[in-house]
Amino acid sequence: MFTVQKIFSKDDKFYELLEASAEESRNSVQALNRVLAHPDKIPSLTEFHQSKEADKRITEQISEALIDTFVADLEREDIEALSEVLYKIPKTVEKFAERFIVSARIVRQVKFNAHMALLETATNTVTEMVKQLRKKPTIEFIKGMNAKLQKTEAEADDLIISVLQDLYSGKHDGTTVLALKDLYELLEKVIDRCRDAGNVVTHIVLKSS
Amino acid sequence: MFSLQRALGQDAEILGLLESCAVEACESVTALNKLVTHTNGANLKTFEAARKKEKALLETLGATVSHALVLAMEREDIEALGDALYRVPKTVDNFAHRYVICAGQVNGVDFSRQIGLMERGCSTVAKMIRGLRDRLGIGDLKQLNDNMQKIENDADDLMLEMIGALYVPGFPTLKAVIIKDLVELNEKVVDRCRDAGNVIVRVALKNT
Repeated sequence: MFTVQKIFSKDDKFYELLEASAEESRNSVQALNRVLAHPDKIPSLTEFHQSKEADKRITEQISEALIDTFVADLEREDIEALSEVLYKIPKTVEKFAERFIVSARIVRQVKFNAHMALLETATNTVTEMVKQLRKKPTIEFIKGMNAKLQKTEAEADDLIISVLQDLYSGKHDGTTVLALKDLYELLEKVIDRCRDAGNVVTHIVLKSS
Repeated sequence: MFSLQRALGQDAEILGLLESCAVEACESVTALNKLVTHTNGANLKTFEAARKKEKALLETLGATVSHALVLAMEREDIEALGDALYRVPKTVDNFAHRYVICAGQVNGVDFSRQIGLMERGCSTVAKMIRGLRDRLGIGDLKQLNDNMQKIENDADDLMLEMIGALYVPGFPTLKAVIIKDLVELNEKVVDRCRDAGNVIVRVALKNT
């Protein structure tokens, strides 16, 4: 790339916005962890809603900036794909929180610790991967981080099979099975979105390798 | 080799990888048929292996596409097609794991008609990818895609029929939840085949 292009490129702005979006995803999972740690209190949706709205504003900023800003290192469709998938993380966390609140009477005493540990690992890894983008990491390095994310996702898949095995055992009544299955599947979806984000980051690094 | 040949060569490599993905998808559905009909030779390892093989193919595909300079097919079409194909053995693997943990609860439920449609969906996709490679006319590819749409409609009707049977007063709730989950997973497989068919027609139209 010749120097004039470099001068006018605004890559830093996109890196900052994408990092902020990844941080919002992590914040939403941390907020969920705090709520689930105190199941006796009726949680408020405000914190999740704020996180999702903040991420939505970042996603909108990215879309607007893409229209009139020159980007040098990253491709437009990759920026769009990454911002879209990052936004889905707090969005799905908020959805989980909404369903948890409406079914609190039935699910309040259920421990989601194993799922939350995986969620924290996944969002931390995604945030770290997004931060690596501006440092131009080697493909081997980013593939190593993505492998960690894939492992977390595989563990989440195994976990849902084991919780479904318990739910389908006949020990629980139908309504509890319905409510919990819905919640477990939403948590799994959050990890799937983290995996998608990791794949997009890997794809971006692969293109420039 | 001059660049056009090189570009066409890479398209051939990509179509070869996509065809392998489609074959792998067909095999995972065949294994599922064996699992639900209790035929020897299918266990959970078969599905995990199919899923891993498909993932490896997808990674090779991603690397080939990223480093290709010129392609007749657009990158996003290749990625969309690879993604749709990968989701077939992935969803089949999900179904198999769930089926195994609740086989006792779903004893007597007939999944054979759904699996029959899944097999037809996968083999139609494989035929369409071969058609793309062999430069089959757009009319023939559209005909294959029409067949695919028909398979998908039949799968929708079948799902409705199977779920409708669960909403009969007195039907055990837990059993209904489990069957609905499994029926919806199978329907998703045909949906992914339909997605793949639509991408193939789009690619063919762009190159007409």
